[in-house]
Amino acid sequence: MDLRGVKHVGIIGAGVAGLATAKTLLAEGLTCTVFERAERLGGVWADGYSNFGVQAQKELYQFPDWPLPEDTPNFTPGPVFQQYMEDYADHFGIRPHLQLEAAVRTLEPRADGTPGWTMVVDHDGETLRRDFDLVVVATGLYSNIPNMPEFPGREEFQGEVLHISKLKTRDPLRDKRVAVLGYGKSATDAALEAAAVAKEVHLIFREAHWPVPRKLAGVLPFKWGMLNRLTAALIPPYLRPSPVARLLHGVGWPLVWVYWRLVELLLYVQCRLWTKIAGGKNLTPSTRVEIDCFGESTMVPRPALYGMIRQGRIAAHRTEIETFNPDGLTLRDGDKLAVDCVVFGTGWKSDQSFLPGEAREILGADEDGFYLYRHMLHPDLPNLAFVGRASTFLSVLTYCVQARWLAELIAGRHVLPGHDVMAGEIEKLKAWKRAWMPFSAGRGARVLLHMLHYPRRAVGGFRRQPAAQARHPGAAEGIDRALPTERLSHHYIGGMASVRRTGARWWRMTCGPQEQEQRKRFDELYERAQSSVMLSVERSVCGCDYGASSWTTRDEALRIGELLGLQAGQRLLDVGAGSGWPALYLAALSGCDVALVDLPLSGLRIARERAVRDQLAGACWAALADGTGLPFRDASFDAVSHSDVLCCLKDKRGVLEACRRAIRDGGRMVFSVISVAPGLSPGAYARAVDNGPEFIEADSDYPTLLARTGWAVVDCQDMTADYASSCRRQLHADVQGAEALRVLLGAAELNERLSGWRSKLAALEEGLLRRELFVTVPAAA
Amino acid sequence: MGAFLWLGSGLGAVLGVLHGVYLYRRQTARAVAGGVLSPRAVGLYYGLWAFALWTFFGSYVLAFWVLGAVAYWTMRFATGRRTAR
Repeated sequence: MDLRGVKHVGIIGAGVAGLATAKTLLAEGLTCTVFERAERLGGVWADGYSNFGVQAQKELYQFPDWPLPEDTPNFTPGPVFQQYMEDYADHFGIRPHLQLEAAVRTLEPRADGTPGWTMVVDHDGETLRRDFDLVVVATGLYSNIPNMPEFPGREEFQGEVLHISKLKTRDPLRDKRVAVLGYGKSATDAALEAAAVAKEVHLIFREAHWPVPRKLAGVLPFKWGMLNRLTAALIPPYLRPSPVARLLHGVGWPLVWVYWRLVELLLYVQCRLWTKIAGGKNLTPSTRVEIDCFGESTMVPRPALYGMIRQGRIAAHRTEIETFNPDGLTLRDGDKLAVDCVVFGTGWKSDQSFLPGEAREILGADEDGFYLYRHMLHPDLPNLAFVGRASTFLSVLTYCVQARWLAELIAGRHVLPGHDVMAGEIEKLKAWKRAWMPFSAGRGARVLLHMLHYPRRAVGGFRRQPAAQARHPGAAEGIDRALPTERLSHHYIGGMASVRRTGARWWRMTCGPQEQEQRKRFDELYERAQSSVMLSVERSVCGCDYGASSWTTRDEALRIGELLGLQAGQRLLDVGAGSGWPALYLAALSGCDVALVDLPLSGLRIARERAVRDQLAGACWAALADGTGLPFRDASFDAVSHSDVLCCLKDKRGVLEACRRAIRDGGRMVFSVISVAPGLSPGAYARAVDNGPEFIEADSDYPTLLARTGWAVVDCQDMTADYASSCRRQLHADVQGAEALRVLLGAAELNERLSGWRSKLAALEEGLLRRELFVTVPAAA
Repeated sequence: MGAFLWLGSGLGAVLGVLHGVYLYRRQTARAVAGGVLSPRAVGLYYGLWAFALWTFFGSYVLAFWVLGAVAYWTMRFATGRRTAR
């Protein structure tokens, strides 16, 4: 599966997972549309039951880049969290990409056979068909289909039967005799709501589960007890346990065992689980806590629950419903309950009915849900991803990590293993979970306390050097750096193989003082080039406004694009990319992906910003790298270009050799270069060198140099006349904008600049300089 | 008691060396990847701390290990109790 060509993404569901995915992919420059069948965003938070809320501390359940407001109550109430999600959508500009009351009816493979899906959507009384390169299913683990188990006699029951989702207020329970079925969060919440207003409340559950008190021993917030590395080491080992975990659960098992028994003792005492309930039973679970906490009904009950049970306000029955009677229920333990209202706190069914039948067959109809590679992808369902099928206690963060992983995959900054490896991983995951995790309909998606392992191991492989990225300048703008050979890892162009050493670390280049001085000048030049007067000059000279330093005009850029034969999905390498002109322009025109390589950081910063503005961020990768040590695998590119770069570098041969290695057979390199005209007298030669770029001199002519570095020249076009025209326009534009330029540069520099243009123009008109466009292909071996 | 303390500390030291080496290698690799200037120092810090803590608390760990093993087998064979493993 290769997601690198993905540009348009359809996201199903505007809950936490959907919003996180939209935000992340939009930031990568992709176009996204989020379809939500409800009338407002929020997923499960858009429409909850009476008094519903988050069951974790607020700092555990928030977007990492959009914290909850300071005054948000702990265990955030549902409506507050829903508003928070609305604000998130507004802040990150997701709302314009959102279609509410749009129910996805089905997905169909694209008719033309290209990777992607056609989504059929019912919206506003119409049926829409929309094409996407990638569809992300972000509907989570729940749906709008309540799970209501069938019991005999229900049709004869004269009271009311509700699913918890229909309990919007306490009113339906007022003064009634209520039975609540279930023992999870929603069921116990319903029981507490009923206890406030009902005449009688019964809580009926098959199995008791270990509660997680909000504060352990009444003192320690549960997050400190659960979400730490000690607990992560002591829970049943993850799919690939570390040597420490293996030792601990091997030879050290008594320590693990005694730890969890102490935890059980704490919970037993704190919640007084010995409390006698109906039928002489108690509330002590029969499953070990370290296993039970991976079950369906793990919950952080409201503090009042066990007190209400002890007081008898909530009558707990550890049994099942045998039948409904006209006036109540008969339980399996023989008790008969007279009730007016039964509330099913039995969760929701998962609904993937919009997936085509073939897709559902591939995912399987196992009772414990379907299993995915990294909980996100299936190798037999290309261009279909799931975000939100990894339930943890830090669900918001987990879904953001998933979205990030997906974005990195689309950007090509990490790659998937082959089909068989992915399928094998799915089978291993299935076997591992089924070996010990309690059965539930959502077991395939259950991660829970393994949430510390999941982001690190299961979703690893991207941004392997986050600290390095963060530490070097430009990292925040998404600019990578070329690292010494042994540190090179994943890269945009499909992973790294060993690259010959450049001989220097990037921050200590071995180039001479002249080149270093030149780099510094370019740095300053790019910074100044963003001023309005400079952009205006650039527009009049070259017809572009990228803050560029090359002489390439828009017409020349179009010519280069044609000569390269760029198409969507191809990869273009631009060496000495500067501020992104003309590479980003070519990428926008052709739909190709582009790697920008240069050393002045300021130019690359501008290029990255421009890429984001032009919605090319997902197709553009920028790296601080020396042109002689391009950090790419051999034959990674379909096309290479550079504009007036070789005449600015000493090691022209090194750059050409590096480009030769980076291009695939059948690719093309097109570049412009300024050189000294042949056959000049010594005096004229000296004038040419003075008026040309810093390193205009070369050991040999370019056709010879190209031949020596493995290139065959297909065409060479003389662009000297165009160069001279550009120079004239430059001089004219500078004179026109002299006042503003004087303010920007100072009088002395402006005069020097004008004098330089005049001298260069004279040299051109006398034929001392020439500019050529070379079209080359890799020479046959 | 003294013998137990020595035994526990000794076992702790052995485990501490193993864990310390593991952490040294892992943290050094992470520090290298993170561009830290002295990755070995970072690894050594983690490794030495692990060794020190294991050695210092080795006898406590051993005591819990023994208690855990005894309690487990007791519960396993006690009537009416659920199997514990």
